[in-house]
Amino acid sequence: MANFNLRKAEPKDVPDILRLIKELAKYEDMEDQVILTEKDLLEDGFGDHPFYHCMVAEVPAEHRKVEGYAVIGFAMYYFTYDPWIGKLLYLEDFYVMKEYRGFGIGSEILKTLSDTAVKSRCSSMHFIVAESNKASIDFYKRRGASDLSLQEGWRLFRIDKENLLKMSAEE
Amino acid sequence: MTKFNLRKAEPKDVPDILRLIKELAKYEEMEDQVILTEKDLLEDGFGDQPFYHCMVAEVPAEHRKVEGYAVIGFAMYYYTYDPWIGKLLYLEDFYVMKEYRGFGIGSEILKTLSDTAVKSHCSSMHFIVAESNKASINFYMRRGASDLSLQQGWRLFRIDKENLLKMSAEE
Repeated sequence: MANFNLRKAEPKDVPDILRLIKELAKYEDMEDQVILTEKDLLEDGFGDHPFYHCMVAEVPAEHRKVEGYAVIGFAMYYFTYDPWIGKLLYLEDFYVMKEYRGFGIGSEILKTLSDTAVKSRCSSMHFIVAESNKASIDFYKRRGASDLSLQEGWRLFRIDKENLLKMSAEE
Repeated sequence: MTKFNLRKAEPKDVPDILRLIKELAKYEEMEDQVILTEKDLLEDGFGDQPFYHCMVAEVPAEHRKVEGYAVIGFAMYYYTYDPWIGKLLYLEDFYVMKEYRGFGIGSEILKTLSDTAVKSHCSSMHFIVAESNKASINFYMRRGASDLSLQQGWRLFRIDKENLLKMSAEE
């Protein structure tokens, strides 16, 4: 199978995007943690001020291995800002359905994102990977990725809503 | 000294923002890595589509310890997107000049950011901290922060421009 098409996501793709987000979460045993709805995705991605951008990979009808699905992969990204060098492209989610792997779709998505990053005048692409995910780490390292956590000791922190409200309410 | 004022940054603050970015970089011994200019900061933060948001801390003239400076601290942040829960507030840079520390300015900045996050319907605040920066780690842990790198094994990766161009040019 060699025929697939990559394009910018449109509002009509929101149900497929949510389906793929849930598939990827299921793969990480976290499917019940996805509380986002189609309505959220629509408002947040296709309103006046998009909080994310998406590209989707689709296959023509005759190449569908899995019943009914035309959109078989996606990448979600947004722009972030480094105070030393400026704009960056941040790759948030990246997934191709199992049945469609091994055909270069992932590579093609990353290549297109690289092009988007350069055209948008971004200095680099950033993303996080779980240290246990050796397959993904290798995939990215083969394409020149550096592990900044390993090299520079960066750790990702979170202050959740409960604690944000606590701080917000303090005198 | 207790008097200070926190407010949204305006275009006129750009020279001070760049000065403080460089001061923070100098503190990390990386001052020559700041290639961003006032022009970049102006276009990227105050154009049609801001790539970052900033709040600044200023002191009234009579309280200035350091000659000429009214803006003595800042926080740079932007919105990111988690495909499971939606909008997040990402704290990118956070700095108060040495002479003005210990007066609760940092706490007040974080409190205001927490309020901003909640009002913008963000589920959490995210940020990275170098593992060697014990003082900052404690500052955040005292406010309920969790180390996601430690808990979940997340590592930050970068694909720099050279490698983005390589991928972009591949057939």
